Amino acid sequence: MILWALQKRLLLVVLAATATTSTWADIDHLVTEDTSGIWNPSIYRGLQLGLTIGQIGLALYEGGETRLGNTAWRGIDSELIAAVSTEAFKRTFRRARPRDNPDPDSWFTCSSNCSFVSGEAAESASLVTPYILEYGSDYPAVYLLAVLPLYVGVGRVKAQAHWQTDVIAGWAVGGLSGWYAHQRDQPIVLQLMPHGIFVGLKKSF
Amino acid sequence: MARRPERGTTRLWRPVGLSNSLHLIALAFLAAACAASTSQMTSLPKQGTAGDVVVLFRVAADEDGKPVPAILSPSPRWKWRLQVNVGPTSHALNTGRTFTAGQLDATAQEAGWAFLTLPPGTYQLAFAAYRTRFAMPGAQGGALGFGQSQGAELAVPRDAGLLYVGTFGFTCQRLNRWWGYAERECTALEIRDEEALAREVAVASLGRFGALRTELASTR
Repeated sequence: MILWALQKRLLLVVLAATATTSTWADIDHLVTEDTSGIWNPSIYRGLQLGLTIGQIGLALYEGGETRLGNTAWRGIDSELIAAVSTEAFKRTFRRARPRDNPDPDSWFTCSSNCSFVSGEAAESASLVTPYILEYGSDYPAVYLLAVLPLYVGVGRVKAQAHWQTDVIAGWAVGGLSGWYAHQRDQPIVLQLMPHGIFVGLKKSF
Repeated sequence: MARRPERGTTRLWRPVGLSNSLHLIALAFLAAACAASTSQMTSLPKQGTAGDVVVLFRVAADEDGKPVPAILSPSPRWKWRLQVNVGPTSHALNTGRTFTAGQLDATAQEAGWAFLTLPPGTYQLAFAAYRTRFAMPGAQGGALGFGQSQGAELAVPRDAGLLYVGTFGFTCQRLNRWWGYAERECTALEIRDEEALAREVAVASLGRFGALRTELASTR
């Protein structure tokens, strides 16, 4: 109860602190463009795509009756929720990307391919969150997965594709999607799957 | 009175009538009341509170003739778990109102034990699970393979603090239809008397509610 009260207060403080535009302006600043080496967008996009395909494969193979397979199905839910949410944010806030407009306050100006929130940051956070929540307490090394959203987020800012707050909000959207998918009674997509997929391809064939 | 839109203009939103608002408020109150009543049923009564009775029970299952773990706890979530539904005996239990029963310690959870806190009266208790078909009289089916068993009738006496109503044993078979939604079909529910085991659980976790009394539930 005390912990919950503290968390609530902390949340209020964070909300109050970030609600002012000056705070946002303090955080957002243009960095020198760097898309060389590991910051090349195709590298982290390829990594995310590979992990997403791997996760789908793992979910199909394991099915929903094992801890790993069930978590993978929750990971799929989480990514889908994050994708829909980020699209909704982008269409609502229509913030221009830094490379298109150097003013971080350029909200409601972009017509397509908008900046807020970062889809890649949200996707990477949504990808790892269910695994961190499921396995973190048993295997603390799993927390290292948090490096992925950090890497992707920094990459997006360095590519001048996103403002810093886009990335922070993207992490929040991805993290919340992962938390929601993890705490649900049953994974959404798995519920729609027939027996053959539910038990996993390793058992059905 | 709601203003009519001018000719040739598009009305952005319809005026929300008083009756719609009242319906929404009533629904919100109903949802809140349902949540509150469920949480009351799954929490142990406070010491010194007179009236409510802790109803202890266990579930067990056989699948294709072999005993399989049957749990009433919310985790592990990748295993087959049963929820409960409880209500008056006067009408069928709505499958949309199933919930997780009250939880005891981890050992008791693993063995299939759980409890409900109920005021004295007569109730029916049913069990429900995802991807499970209950082929028994009075059973109900929901969407995507969600099923609810027949109800068992139980009487909660006024003078009891802690009541054991039986071990609910399901006889099930595994289903293997590739396109099917049900993973298992449970065809029989038997209520067994495991009073000795119930006493052990009562002593370990529920000692403060007084002596255990046994009044087995019966299938309807």
